[in-house]
Amino acid sequence: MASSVASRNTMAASTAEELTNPFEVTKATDFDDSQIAATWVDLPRGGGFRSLIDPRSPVAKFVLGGKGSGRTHLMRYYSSSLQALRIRERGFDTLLKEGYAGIYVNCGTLNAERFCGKGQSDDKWNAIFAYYFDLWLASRMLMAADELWTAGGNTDHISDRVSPDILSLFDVSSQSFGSALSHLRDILRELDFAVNDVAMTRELRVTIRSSPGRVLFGTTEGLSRLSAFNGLRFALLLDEFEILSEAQQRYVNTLIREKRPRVGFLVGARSFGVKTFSTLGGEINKEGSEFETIVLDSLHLRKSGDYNRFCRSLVARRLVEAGLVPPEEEKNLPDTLNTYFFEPLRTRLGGPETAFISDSSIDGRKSLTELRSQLQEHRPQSLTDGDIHNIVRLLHRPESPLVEKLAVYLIYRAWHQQENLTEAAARIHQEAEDFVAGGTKSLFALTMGHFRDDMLAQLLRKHRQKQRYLGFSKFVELSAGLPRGLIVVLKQTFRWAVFNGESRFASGHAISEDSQRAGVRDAASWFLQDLPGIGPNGAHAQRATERLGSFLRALRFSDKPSESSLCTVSLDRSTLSENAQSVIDSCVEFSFLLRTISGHKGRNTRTRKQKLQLHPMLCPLWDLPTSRRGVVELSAEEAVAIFDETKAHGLDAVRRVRLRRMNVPFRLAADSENVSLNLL
Amino acid sequence: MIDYSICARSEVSLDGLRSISEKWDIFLSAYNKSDRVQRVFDAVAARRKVWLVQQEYGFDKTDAPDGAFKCSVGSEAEFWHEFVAFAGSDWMDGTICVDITGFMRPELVFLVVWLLGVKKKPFIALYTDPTHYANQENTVFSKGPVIVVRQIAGCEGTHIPDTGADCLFIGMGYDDELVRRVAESKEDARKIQMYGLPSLAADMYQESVLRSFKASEALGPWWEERCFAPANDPFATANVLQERVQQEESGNRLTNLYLSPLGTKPQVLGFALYFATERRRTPSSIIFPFTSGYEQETSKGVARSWVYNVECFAA
Repeated sequence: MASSVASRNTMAASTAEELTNPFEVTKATDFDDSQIAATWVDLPRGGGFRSLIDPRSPVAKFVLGGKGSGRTHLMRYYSSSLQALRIRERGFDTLLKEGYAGIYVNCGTLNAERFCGKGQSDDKWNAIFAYYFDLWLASRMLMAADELWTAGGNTDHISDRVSPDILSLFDVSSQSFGSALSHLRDILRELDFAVNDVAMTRELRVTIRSSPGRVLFGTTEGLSRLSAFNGLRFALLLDEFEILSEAQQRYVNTLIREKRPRVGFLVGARSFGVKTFSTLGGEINKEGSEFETIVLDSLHLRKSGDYNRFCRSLVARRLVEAGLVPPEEEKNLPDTLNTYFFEPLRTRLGGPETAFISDSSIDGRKSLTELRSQLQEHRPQSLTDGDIHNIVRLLHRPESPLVEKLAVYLIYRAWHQQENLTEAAARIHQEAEDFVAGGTKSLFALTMGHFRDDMLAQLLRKHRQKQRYLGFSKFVELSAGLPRGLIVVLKQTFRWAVFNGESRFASGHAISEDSQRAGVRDAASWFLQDLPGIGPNGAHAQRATERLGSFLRALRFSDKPSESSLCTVSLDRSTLSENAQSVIDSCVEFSFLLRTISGHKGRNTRTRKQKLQLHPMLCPLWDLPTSRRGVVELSAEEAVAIFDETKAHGLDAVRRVRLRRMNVPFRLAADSENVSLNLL
Repeated sequence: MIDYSICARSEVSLDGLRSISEKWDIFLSAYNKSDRVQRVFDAVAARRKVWLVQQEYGFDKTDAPDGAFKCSVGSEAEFWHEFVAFAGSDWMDGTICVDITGFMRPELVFLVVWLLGVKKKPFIALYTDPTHYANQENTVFSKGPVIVVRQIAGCEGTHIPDTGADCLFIGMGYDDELVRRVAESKEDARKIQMYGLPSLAADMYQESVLRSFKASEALGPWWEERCFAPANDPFATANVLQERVQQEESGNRLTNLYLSPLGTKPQVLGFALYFATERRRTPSSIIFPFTSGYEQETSKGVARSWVYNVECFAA
């Protein structure tokens, strides 16, 4: 099977050398075979990918994952085209050592949507699809065999040796005396004509010449008898399985259940892309029995250290392949990637990070001036002007706007808890002094540990600065188990760096904050637009995610956010409308939300709630944090207003109710307006 | 090589339409609320004029004109089969003129392939420019998300299992979402974009390029692989397609060819003409991103009309 052609190389060559973006190609489908091999990076430990997904295994494997999880790259790496490259390098024995022949099929190339409708019954179409599928796969198998044989320096077609075996698999004798491959192609063409013409003629004339599975498994058996393929497993690598309809997937499940020795199945699909595990006979294939499942992005999330290492190696390989870094430096490059991206120095008091606040006076500090105005307006505890002046003075930290911001946050907490504010200010002042001096045990220090990033975010916002998602480690975090996400961030960042005239991946030159921010923003927009599949669910999920993002943003930038690092919510599904539940499932399916398995025990009830984290890649769209810590427990009304489109009109009202507790003057629940939204 | 430019095309005013249309035996037009569809229908003086109501526009029973053909089922093939039952078996006798302005692309493509590829029946096509679009460059034509990307019925071809050098030609339109979905449906294929240049109006080419950038991730490293054909000339479109496909076949090797006409209706006609004439029984097909509906009125005014004499060629 010929590898993809040089047009990709033409693309690279058409771009000026100095502007070549090492991350231009973000999808495995856009690589030719040599590029797949060149950019291949294995998991860093424990036997690599092979230990998890072994094409030699007799047990079928479903390899699932979100868009960009690396499924296609992995499956193509296992394919016969890549094996052929390895054979050319190391000899035909390589194939026997690898122990399998990988037959890669993208289910999208079957154009399977045509096997329906046009005035014909489903049963007829299902039978035709099964026949077509067998012939298509058998053809691919013979092509793969020829490709591997040819790669070993042989000039004949090895598939011709099994022609008599294959021709005998057809129930109706064929008039063809050509090779098995040409015979299969002739039958496929006949079927295509018939399927094509039915739209015009309304008649479907097809002769099915073999029973389901016979041609496919018979071809495997024929090839297995050849000494060249002795002992090999023929691994059928079926990618984009989600494209097949439920009935079509049922046929594949039947093949998995009834497979013969020497045949293996590796089925790649998006998470939730497997519509059924049932077979044509009505049985259900079971996890642990007929198949196993691995979810790539979940795997990466569970082993974040390994994933980090994997990402670094991936990027290092790309930089070397693009000629930006000499090959001899590849080994050390993963550990130095951080140096290529500017990040402000992180210090205890946040000086470099808050350098944009140059005025150290009270009137130059927006947090203080706002607090002062609020105290003057609302006069809690009948504070006098003198009291207010004293409170503000005690909270003022000329040397550290960050410490000062936290002090203001703590006074808001005290206000909410109806403490004596003058005393609270004095206490906070003492603790802040202790913290500045290096103390770590006070409540102030502990709160700073939790809320530091939120306080910095609030300062950035107050001073009209953009939020920061900077540095290579942050980019890895944004991708959250989807390597393509990382590559897209880097691609866009690189583009902006070129536009801004910056050096890229040159020692001593870090890509600027501006370029990184713009790149992250573009990547986040891509994620929201491109990740959903087709159908109405994608649009519903996008809109719900936007509502959730804006809701969390309002909480994060309130005067007194109740939780730190707000990007996660919990809710009780049983209280929600069906619409809301369906949209939540879509959000998870499209990777907009990450669902934790264990859930979250509600604070005030004993129910186990579902915990959902906004995908880190989306967080920059709403200035949200990317690391998970605090969890917002959504009420049923809030959850419905966010996730049920038909109730979204109530979102402003539920947000107002929630924010009353979090914004000055912190009306308690008993004081809040009794809002009955009738959303449930 | 076939030269499609020998087919005649001419510009005509509304008044001019009256006189030339007297010779037409049947005139078909897809009903929508745009001036350029309705006023043209009124101006045409064919022996028989038929409104066809497509369900994607979402018209109520009361909206549709009396005597119009209303299809009760969804797919493009069923639409035309029902029309034949409605119009009578002799509807193809004589000169056919089709106003392609308001037709959904799948129905239009199916009709062209059926008339030229199966029935070997030449016909006249009519297309009218508006004076402007309802919201200028922000005009939305399709309504709702893409439901499925699939081959248009009757245009499914005979694709081969060797998919190592597949190619997708996209006739670029304004809707980046449609471009994205089509590109994603054939991830393995290299993508070549055909832009309408000269465009129908001065800045439309630039606008369509800007829009296509939004789909650049889906288009992949080929998002700058472009070819150009005049937006209002189906014959030049067919010629450019022919030439460019041949270039791919001889230079890069071509296994399976996919065509997706998302641009102007004259370009859609050009894609369908090329497919019906040269690609029907080859590893080629026409694919399309189907949405649930379309806007009933997207343009204002009547500018110029184009008449295209679409011939049958022997491939």
